[in-house]
Amino acid sequence: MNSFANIISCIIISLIVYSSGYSQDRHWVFFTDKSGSEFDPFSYFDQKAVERRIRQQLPLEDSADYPVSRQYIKEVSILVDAVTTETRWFNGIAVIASEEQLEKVGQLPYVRNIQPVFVQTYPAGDGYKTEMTEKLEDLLKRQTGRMGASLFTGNGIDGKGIRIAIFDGGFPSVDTSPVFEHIRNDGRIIKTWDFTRKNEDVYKAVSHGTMVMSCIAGIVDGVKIGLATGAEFLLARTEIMTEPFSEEENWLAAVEWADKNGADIINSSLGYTFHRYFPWQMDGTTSLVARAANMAASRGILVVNAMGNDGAQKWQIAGTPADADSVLSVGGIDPDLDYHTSFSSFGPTSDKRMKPNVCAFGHVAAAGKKGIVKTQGTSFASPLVAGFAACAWQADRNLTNMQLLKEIEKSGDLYPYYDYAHGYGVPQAAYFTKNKAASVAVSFTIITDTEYLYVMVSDKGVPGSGRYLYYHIENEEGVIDYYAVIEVYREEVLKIRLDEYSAGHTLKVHYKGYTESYNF
Amino acid sequence: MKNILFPVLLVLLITGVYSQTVLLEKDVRADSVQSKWGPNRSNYINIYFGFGFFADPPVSDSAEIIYGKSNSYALSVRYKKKICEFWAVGLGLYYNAINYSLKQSIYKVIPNKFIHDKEQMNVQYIGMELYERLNFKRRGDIIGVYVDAGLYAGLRIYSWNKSVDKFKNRELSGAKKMEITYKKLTYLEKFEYGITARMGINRVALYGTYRLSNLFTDDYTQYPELPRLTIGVEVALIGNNPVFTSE
Repeated sequence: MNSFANIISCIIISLIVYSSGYSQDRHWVFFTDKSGSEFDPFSYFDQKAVERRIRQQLPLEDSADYPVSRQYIKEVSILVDAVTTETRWFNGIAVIASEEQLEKVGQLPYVRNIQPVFVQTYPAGDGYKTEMTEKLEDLLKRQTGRMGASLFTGNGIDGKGIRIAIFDGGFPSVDTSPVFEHIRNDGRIIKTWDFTRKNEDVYKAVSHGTMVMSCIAGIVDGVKIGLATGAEFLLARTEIMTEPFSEEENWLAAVEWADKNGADIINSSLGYTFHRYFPWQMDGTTSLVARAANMAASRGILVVNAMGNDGAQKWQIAGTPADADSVLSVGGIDPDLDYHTSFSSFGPTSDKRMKPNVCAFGHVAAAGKKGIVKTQGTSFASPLVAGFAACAWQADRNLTNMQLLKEIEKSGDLYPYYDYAHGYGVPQAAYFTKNKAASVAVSFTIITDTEYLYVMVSDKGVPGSGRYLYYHIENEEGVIDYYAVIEVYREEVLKIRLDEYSAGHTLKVHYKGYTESYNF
Repeated sequence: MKNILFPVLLVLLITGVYSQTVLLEKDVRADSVQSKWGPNRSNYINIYFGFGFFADPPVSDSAEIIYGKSNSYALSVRYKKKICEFWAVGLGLYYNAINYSLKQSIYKVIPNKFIHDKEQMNVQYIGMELYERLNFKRRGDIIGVYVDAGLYAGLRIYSWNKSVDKFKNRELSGAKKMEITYKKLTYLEKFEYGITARMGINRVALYGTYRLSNLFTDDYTQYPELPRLTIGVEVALIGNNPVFTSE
């Protein structure tokens, strides 16, 4: 009886501590102004951050860059248990405080708003061994080859001069593994910071960040794992564990840190979904991280984010900040089937904006803590595209971040066709190295009679040949109502009743690089 | 008839093989319809399995049980109706199997004074529960952190009492042990009712039930009450949410 009572007591205490520890301590306190703050962009920003703003004709400073008022922080810190983080962009601080303390803080005249800090889970995909099976080696070559890697390499484009910030749960072996030796030898890991422990050591904990970084810039036995092997890096540990835990306040702090330290691109393979939000809140403005991602974009940074791995779950759609308007959201395709892989989250956003923007392999070969492994998740499609973006930006440095985003979309192998599983398809290096064909051969025809519309191809394949026809039906508002991918092995691929769709609807079809539309 | 059957089947087979394969299709309009069912949506239903032990002391020496071997299993189907972000009400149906391992001593009176090597009494109920839930913290579509308080009432559907005696002199008795089972016990009340409370995080909860009704009928006032308080752990059997989700 006594031992049983002890066990029950332990369970009760654990539940109380678990729920209370995670449920009520941390809150954001946002202020009305930045009274007394001073700011000098030349002393605050890294040189590359200044260059980025000048190059993209952005202001060197605005009110969001000014620090949070020291006086306000000092006065609030007296009332709370601890101040853990401050955010310049949103003019606030994160505090650990009880409800009574927060009530007193809320009465301060310069406190605009108090809201809880979200800490939540986001499950996603997983002597140094460089040996690989033949199959793994083949995948390794195809994951960059699918984006036209040889065209970048052949033109000497490797992301040189582009600074990429990676937010993740840890980067063990990045400091020792031969996969990253070329980066270490050149001193291109510019800065590191562990936001969870407040020190510089990020080479620890889970290897998710290691795998992500390898998909941006790793090299194994002379073969590129990612495209941007010449880029510079800022490594930020923002999560206690890998994707099971993602801390909003660390992410926000890391974004501002990345901006300060001259990041051109941020790769963030994380997302918030059903633990904190409902699908109708994925509108690109509700979550703080989506707004922070948009703020980063307003400062000339290209934020690349994974769509998420809820495609086969009840949630289905993109998480946040993948829902943010200014984020390049990346979905996943199956490397063998070459279309949407089942777990990749779908668009659109709840306000009907197109997502994902583009896609890449969602099953990859990556460098783990001890060797090369096969892993999966849109977490790894995102860094493949981040590395691509670095190369594309090196090729045309005059582009702003949003121009680059649009150009990457245009380089997609389905462009101008798109859907909510693939976006504009897989980005192609040919677009940026001027190797893209000037015109595309007509591969199908759309014909109609009194009742039906037919899509006819002349070059049909056989079952299993991997010839795919994509089509969608847009409504009057330009939002896709229905889309599909069909494997083609008949001349008459599609047959639609003309009276099935009212005037204003548009059929768009894509097959073998050629796209054509029909207005009902 | 047979002459055309084979070609017809062949044509059907060929056309079937060569019909287009739709690899992916999405009706966005249908996907956009928001479900009213979910852990934090208007309606929610789940199946729970609970296991508990008795936690209150015996009322007398005659009502002692062996606590470690006395337990309760419960299988419930529970529906929850969300009223607002922090408040919900619910209705549940349960099956509960309670096992009392009766301590054999000179003070024993249930169901008689005979002392055995082991004796167990098992009582099974089906019943209904009404409860209210308070949730803490804003959350997405997950169950979250909560406390429940409710009432339950049930009908006894089965019961038995089993005694086991091991023979010391097996040659004399011709057997190693004797087991006697009495079924459909008549000294037990037909109905039970009580109060229940739960404290949970997502799919796992700590629960407690307190039986307010008497276990034995009025004809058996000589039987002291057995423990009324059960404390245990229950798990929701359905759901994608992890068992523990940090908030």
